Amino acid sequence: MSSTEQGTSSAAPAEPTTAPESAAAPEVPESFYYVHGKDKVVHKVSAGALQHSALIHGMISNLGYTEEQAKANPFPFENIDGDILQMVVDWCNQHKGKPTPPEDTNLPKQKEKLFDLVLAVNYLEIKELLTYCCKQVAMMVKGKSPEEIREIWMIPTDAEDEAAEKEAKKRAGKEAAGETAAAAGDAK
Amino acid sequence: MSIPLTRFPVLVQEKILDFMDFYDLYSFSETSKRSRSLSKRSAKRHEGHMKVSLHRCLKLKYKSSSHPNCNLKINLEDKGSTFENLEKYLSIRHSSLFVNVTISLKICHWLFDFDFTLITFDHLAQLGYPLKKCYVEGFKNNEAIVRALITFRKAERVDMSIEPTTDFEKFDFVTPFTESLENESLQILYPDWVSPWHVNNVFNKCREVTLSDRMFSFAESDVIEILKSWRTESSIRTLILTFDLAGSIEDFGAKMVEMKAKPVQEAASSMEMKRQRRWGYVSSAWLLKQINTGAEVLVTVGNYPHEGTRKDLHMKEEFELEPENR
Repeated sequence: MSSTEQGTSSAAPAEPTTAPESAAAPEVPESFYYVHGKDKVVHKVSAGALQHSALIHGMISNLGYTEEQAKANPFPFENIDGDILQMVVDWCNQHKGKPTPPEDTNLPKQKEKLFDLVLAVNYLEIKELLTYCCKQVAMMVKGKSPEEIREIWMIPTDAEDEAAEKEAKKRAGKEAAGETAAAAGDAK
Repeated sequence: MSIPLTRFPVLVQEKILDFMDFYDLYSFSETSKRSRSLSKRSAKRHEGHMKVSLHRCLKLKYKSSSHPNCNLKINLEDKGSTFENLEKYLSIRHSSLFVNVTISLKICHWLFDFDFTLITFDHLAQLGYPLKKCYVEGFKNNEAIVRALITFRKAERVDMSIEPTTDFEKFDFVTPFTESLENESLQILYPDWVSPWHVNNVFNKCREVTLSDRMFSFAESDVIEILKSWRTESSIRTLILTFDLAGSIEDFGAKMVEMKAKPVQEAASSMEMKRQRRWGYVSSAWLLKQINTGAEVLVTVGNYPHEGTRKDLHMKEEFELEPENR
């Protein structure tokens, strides 16, 4: 796997700083982890920034990886596009160790990516960012008529919903019939 | 820019809908049956008020009380609608959306099928729609008065503007009232049919009772009967009526003292009272204490000189006395 460090990660890995002798408590060097999306581009993210993601935080909390081990084992998120993962990593870095404000002005500006971003953020369990994204999606239909909402949110009509439901039932029926036939074949 | 909402996981869809105000949520619910079903959960976060007007046509106006813009309304029904739509909109189609809704109602008993109206509202009350304000008007109908009061017994406020018939004394205004009304405020514009029995046994669980009619006066004995009964037990804290003084105000005062009421002087604390006194309004006041609860009310009896023996009686819980009475 070819790995490229980007964003904050494109800078040289932070060297552990030696604590000044006069300091009362020695500074614990920050640990870093590596993640990559569908595009295999590896992003280096500090554990502090990753705390925003309940999913990743849960994964790393008991690993105790060394820098080398972490680098050798980046977390793969094959279901997330590279540019979306980049947005998420940037957001986590910007909000590292800071209380999140009620309104976020640093949200990604590319609205066409909002759908993928919501899915990624929901998957990674980044509560605050999901809240901001959901607010942004809700704002898309503010003051709009039902017909406008249908267009903006691509809501299927009742007839389309019914047709999709029928189709799903048909498919489920076929699958069940296939499974029964396969089971009968196995029994023979 | 479009975004396929239905392709989000359900929890995300719900979170998005939670960020919408009721008006947007209502518009969304109108896009499909599935959207309506999805809106139910988020709708519970909102509170609102429905104005139902039944004058010549049915009009339904919904106002969200949690929305910062108090001028926004949803007009659910327009001119020419039939009353059946009320059930359709409230109890069937949208009952899940208009959850925390209070209803105000304005009806004329002769314009609609009154029985059907009352049955529907009874049904809506059972569905959990609290009735906030009911304004009922109509032309001389004793049965309509009784039935509407019973149906709207739990409404927060009832304004009854139906006149009784001229021969109302032949009508049974007692037996149908098998339980007390529980209105926070009850106003009866034509109280000719109201007796002390009604105040003491039917209106006794109401908080404010106004029996106002410039053409009608209770007898002084009625007032004494009402106040005597109030001392024993009643939830009424504001009572407004007019009565005919049988003798002098001193005689009336003696009857009040018999009830252990203390004569006091009310302070003219409001501009209205100051203006009244300037125009010659004279009143006497007594503090009356309820035996079982210890609640204290001020009873004032007063009128303008030209009104003769006709007196206004006000019972009120909040009042201010002249300093020497404190």
